[in-house]
Amino acid sequence: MDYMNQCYTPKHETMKHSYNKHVGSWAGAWTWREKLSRRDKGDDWKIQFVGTSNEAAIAKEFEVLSSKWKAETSGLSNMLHITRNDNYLDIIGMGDKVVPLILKDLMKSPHHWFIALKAITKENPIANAHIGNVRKMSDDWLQWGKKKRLI
Amino acid sequence: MYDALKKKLCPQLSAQNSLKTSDPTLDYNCLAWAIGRTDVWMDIPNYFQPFLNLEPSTLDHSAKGYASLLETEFGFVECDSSNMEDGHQKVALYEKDGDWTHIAVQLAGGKWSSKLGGLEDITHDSVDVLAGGQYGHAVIFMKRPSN
Repeated sequence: MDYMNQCYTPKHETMKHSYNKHVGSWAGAWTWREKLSRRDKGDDWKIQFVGTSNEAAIAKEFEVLSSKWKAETSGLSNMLHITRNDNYLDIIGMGDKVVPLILKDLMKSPHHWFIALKAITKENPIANAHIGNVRKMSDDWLQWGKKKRLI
Repeated sequence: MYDALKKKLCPQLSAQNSLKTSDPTLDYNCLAWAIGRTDVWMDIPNYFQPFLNLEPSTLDHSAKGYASLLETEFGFVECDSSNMEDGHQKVALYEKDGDWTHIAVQLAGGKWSSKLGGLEDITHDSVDVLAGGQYGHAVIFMKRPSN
């Protein structure tokens, strides 16, 4: 998506403050989550970017959401609760650009990213024999990521 | 932050009524721990081989739904209480807002053992020690003959 030369003029200072607090720069990266929230509100927003899409801001947003997700679900066993967490859903909403970040997180340590990866990529490289084994399921996705040259 | 997380998870949990028995790990969850496995994270429908064959539209995510799976797959039957019974292993299923949340398994001496999601295993004095937070309350007890 070409983000250049579009104008973003927030109507409300509170929303600008919220966006600024969340991603660090209101002139920074634009996420699909923010775009959808504005579309759903029906506001006549214009969107402005200073420069190209900001990979650092995307990584920052992923880090924030990922940390919150892990903290809020660390003691849970029910996968419905783990994967319906708002932060997890927001990460899925970030789309393709977040897949390498998820894979890099898996490289650090296995975690329940499989449903998010499947939702974003529409693929499922997990071998049947590995189902339920979080380490082997992570390895299957990492092999997939290497083949796709995402990591 | 870690203590604050556990406080939200189980407000009544304390050093006086529980003892940590492992390090945190995502290798297994409470359901796997309850049936004696530490190599798999078990849940419906996509996290355990036998559960893959379940028809998604029939999946019941309540404690009763999980009780049914424990009966058909692992030989547990519902019973009246958490009291120890000779020759039997007991489990307690927790529920909150209509969803199954946790399962604890009774130890030989009468205390209970739980894997707290991706956190550590603990032993705890009673099923009520884990009640009141994100796990809700123990609503179903089940038993099966001890090995």
